[in-house]
Amino acid sequence: MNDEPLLRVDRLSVAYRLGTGMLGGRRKVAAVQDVSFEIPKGATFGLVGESGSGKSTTGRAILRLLQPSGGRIVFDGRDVTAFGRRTPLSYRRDVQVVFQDPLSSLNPKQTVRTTIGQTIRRHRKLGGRELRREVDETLDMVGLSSFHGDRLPHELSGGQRQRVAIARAVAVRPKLIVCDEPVSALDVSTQGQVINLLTDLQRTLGVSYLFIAHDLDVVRHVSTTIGVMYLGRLVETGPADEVCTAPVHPYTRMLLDSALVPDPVEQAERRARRRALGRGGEPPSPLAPPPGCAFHTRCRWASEVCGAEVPQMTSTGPARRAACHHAGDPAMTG
Amino acid sequence: MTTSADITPPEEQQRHGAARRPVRASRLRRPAVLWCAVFLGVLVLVALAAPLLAPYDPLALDIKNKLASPSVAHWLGTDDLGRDVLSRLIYGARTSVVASAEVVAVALLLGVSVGLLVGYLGGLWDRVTMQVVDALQAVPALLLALAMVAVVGNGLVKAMFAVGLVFAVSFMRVTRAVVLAEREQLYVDAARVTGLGRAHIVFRQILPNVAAPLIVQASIAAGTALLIEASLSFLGVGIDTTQVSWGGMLETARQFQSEQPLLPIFPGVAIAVCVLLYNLLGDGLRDAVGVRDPAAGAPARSARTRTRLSVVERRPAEAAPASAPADGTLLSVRGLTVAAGDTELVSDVSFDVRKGETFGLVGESGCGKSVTATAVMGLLPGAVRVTGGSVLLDGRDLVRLGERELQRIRGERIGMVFQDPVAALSPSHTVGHQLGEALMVHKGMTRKQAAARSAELLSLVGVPDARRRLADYPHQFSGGMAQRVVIAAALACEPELLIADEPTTALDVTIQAQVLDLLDDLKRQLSMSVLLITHDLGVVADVCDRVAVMYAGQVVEVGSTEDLLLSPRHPYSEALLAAMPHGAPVERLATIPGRVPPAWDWPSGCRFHPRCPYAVERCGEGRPEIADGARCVRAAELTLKGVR
Repeated sequence: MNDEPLLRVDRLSVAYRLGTGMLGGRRKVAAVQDVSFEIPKGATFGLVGESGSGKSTTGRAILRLLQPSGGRIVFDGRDVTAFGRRTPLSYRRDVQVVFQDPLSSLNPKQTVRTTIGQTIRRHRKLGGRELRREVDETLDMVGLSSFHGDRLPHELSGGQRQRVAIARAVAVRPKLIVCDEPVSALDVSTQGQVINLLTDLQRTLGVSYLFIAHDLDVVRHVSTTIGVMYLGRLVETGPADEVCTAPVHPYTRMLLDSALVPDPVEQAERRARRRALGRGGEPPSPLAPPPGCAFHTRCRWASEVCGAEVPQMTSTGPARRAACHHAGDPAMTG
Repeated sequence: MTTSADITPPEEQQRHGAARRPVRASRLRRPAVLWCAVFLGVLVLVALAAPLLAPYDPLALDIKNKLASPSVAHWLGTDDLGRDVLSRLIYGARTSVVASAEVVAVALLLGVSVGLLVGYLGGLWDRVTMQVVDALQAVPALLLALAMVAVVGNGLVKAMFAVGLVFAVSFMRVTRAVVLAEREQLYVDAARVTGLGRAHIVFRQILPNVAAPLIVQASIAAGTALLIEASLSFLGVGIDTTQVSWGGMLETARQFQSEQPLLPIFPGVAIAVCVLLYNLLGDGLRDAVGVRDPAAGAPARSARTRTRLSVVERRPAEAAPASAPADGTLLSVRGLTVAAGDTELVSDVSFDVRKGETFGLVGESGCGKSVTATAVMGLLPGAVRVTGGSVLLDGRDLVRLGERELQRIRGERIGMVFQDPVAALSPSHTVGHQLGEALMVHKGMTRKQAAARSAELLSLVGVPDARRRLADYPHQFSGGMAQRVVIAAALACEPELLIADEPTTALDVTIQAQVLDLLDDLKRQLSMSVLLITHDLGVVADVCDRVAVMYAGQVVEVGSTEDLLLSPRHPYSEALLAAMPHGAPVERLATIPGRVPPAWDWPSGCRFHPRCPYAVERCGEGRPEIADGARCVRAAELTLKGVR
């Protein structure tokens, strides 16, 4: 038995350069800092956070669309961060992506068949007829018909476009798909269809997902494990259900209480909790994160140590970790 | 494994495709563009077939017949050496076409390849190239051509090469700009992730997007090249004596026009007409390809409706089936019908917003909720009209008011908040200026009073340090704070009704909660009513007292928030609730099969019946009315599941 995870992200950091200063000095801003998590084969890791939390940056680093400034990404036993400038084709086959906005993630000038076909041909030399059959099969897998292949992206509905983006990703039978907000641009009823499709594909293909989203309810639904990010750092990880029902980090609690549910009774309770927690304040600018725990400026339980020291991820239970100086403090769970 | 609920039948797909594609094609078929293309095609044909068409050798001298007027033998007369003007014009076309073609070819080849390269590579390459290019662009094309001729000797090919070089700069700029924009598109990232190489991405993914602007550029460059060729020949530096050029003909004509006044007319007209044609073609093409493709779906469609619509005359709003609004009602929408041409976007929408309540209008995209809101505010775009019903604000029908009166009501009695706070604020004025303006116009305040009141408003909506922040520009506010500013602006004149169209959709979850809390507090504090348009039933559960669910342009259910969410009476409300993931995960999310039909394709009978699990035969007939809060003929017999 081999229990090595499919993907291991180890203390990953990504820094963006903020232009060049007048005297040639370069300002850097840390978009992701010391993020570590693992994705086992066939599992889904959900990454939740608000804008500026660095969740998409993490995904882009794994996709090698960005060069990390520190840490390691190990995929299937291979050190991805050691690849150098050229990404091996096998990695390009194994790791695929589905972006948020299917309209801009599909080339407006290419038909669905071209888009999917060129992906397949890059990795397998197929003749015209075989390629056609392969594209049709892929379309069928995502619930589209052969005739959709001849459409241009703008001729499809939002849900259909996202199916095409998913088809492009699964066409080469990847082991990991990074889903970056795959349903947040869709209507409620279409959202459900796409989520169901993703879970179906996971069952039949055994693919793993890194599921990035801002909506905790959606992430909880699809993920086995959840990671919550705030201002570039992972603040809590654990099994999806446990994190959502018994959050440890105050930010996770704030996220949960802020999420809206269509149940008026439950929503009234959440609302009361949310109001009791106070306004919550403004999120600090990611360009100038506060010292210590980045959340301490909005945290009700913040003490002196929170503004001085960066809390490290520590175990708070089986398979659970959180980065909070007051984790497990009885005052906080009350 | 076809879970595929949003598959549309092929016929329907085909119809949509067919309806959309001709938009561009038909624009290309506009007479101006077509005629230009035909004439230029003829010009090229003439140039190619010059030896066949020309009645004489253009260089054959016939001194006896010099400077002859048009006759049967020489249709356009002869020049100072007795050469046939018509033949020379025909051969001159050849020179012009060759010159234009060379310039465009050099410019395209050089400009596009350099543009693609530096655009995609970026960084140092880009910066250095752009410096060189800026320097090059400072040199006029004609001057460079003259210098080239002076250095390497006479000759059309050499001179035109120099012109092509200068033109390559503008081609390069266009290409680079498009590449820079496209490089950031997600589809390029997606292509990289699938392992497609750099060359493939540049040539197969990005290049096709450059094509449209380049065609326009090429057409205009061809015209200018023709003009430059004529100028050079006129100055006698372009061509040698074995070639015929319109410019050269003009120069000859200049010398002999006192003896033969017709001489300058023919080459002059030829040059003018050809340049004009090239430019008109360029303009026409620009209009035709002006719509950028990614967005082509939407704008193209609206453009189409617009043209169709202008024919439809405005029908006066019909008298509303006026049931007097109940007491305590502030806004009463009665039978509101909005149409774009013969396509109804919103049909017979009725609801009441009571004083001091938050009323939610909820539905998926395309259900008509935003159209309803814009109709209430009287802000419908030109081609879309209210064709029936009324919007009563305290008993006064807004639909019948003129624009001036409406404007006053919008300023003083109705406040508005939109989805994107940054777009709702002017980027070039301070927040204090924007808030103060409204107060001075509508409330007649002095500048000082307005500033004081603005600060009050900002602190009312929870902007910390309000007085100092009045001097800030909108981009200095975060999304949440900017939305607070927009709300403050909407409250400036103490409106009785606040219309908020997806006010929290663009905000982060924790900020969304804060803004909703703010709206709720303000409603109580200022005892105003709020009409909240949203797609999110969670928002409804959080702040709305009553709610109307819209589907395909109709209100399908209306009632108190609790009733509607806990025991919905319309199958669509039930389906929407079931489709939202919340609480402990279930094996599969419930979905609604199919998708919202477009406005021009609403089904007969109940508009939801093709997607409804409870539909029976009679659901497809008639026009179900809203009864007891639900527009469903089976409402009484169904027991539907709420959120619990």
